[in-house]
Amino acid sequence: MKKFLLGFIVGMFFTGSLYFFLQPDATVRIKMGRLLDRDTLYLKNGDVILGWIVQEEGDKILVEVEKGTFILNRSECKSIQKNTFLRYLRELI
Amino acid sequence: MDKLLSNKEAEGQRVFLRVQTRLPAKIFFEGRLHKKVYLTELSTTGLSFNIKESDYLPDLFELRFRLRPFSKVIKIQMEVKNRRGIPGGLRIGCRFLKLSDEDKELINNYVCRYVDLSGPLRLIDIAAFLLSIDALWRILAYLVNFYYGGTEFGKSFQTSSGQDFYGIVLVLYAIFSFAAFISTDNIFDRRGKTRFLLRLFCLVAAFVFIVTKNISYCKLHIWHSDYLFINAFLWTQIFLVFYTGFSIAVVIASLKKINLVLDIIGLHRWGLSQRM
Repeated sequence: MKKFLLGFIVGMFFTGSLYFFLQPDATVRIKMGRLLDRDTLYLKNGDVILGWIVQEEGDKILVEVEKGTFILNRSECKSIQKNTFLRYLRELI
Repeated sequence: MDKLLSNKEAEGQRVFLRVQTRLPAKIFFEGRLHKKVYLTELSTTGLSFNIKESDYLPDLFELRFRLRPFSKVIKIQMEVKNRRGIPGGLRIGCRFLKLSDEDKELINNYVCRYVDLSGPLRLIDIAAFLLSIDALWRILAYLVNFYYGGTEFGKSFQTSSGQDFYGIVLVLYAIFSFAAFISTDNIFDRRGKTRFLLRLFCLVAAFVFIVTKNISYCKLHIWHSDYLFINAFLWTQIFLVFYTGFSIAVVIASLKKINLVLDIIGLHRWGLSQRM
């Protein structure tokens, strides 16, 4: 019974992994990559922005969020953490 | 007729589960109290006790004892099966001749209660299962990281060194967890004790891994994360550490009992195979 249960779970794991890495249209891989790529911006007023830093030019930062893009002054940011989830993933495994 | 057996011969006849005990009992012969003894072992089909070498004991007699103070007195007609020499006297092995159904059930319940290993075995079963799931999750995360590590954003920052060998460590962790989960499917067979010890070793090895990982989480200050699901993951890791540690502690505390039961079962199988 235990062998069957473990075999089933490991089988599901390998099937899922194969689907993830070998699927032709790469939709899931792109979504996963975008999630892992997400940056976190901690503002001086206490707000936290989850998004993607598209461009950095001098004091200006172009940030993309789910609803669109906007420009943020670097002076408003307390700190920036890039690739937040990939960073966490690497530290957690 | 008295049957004096060597230790090995006597052990070969232990074919039923039995527990060690020190219950007081009275031997009655021809309706009169003959002797008071302490039972050393009790099984579902017989028992044993010690007497002095000079003491007389007939081959057939009645034995009365209680399994617990103030409980029902159990009366059994006994037959001596063997008399084994021990330092300072004889160990008498007897089998039940006449036993009421009610008394038989009382004895069976008593023996089964003390040889029941389901508690510690279930604990390590669940711990090993949780560790297996954890190992699979880590391998999946490792593969995802490996995949995106080759992309532009994956190369944009470096983490701690030693990642090259980490994959091997993870695979070892998974092997230990899986082995701990499945290695004792047939614990009650001839190699049960070896398998049980192997399982315990695998579980301890996997436990060392997750303890090390949790220490590294504290050092890396991941606990200060602003993300609820990462903190939830860390709480499950803490639970896993404590649960696995508790399971190992319970098993080590029950090791004597487990060892005894596996010995008896081993002898039981050995006895059967010798007769075939």
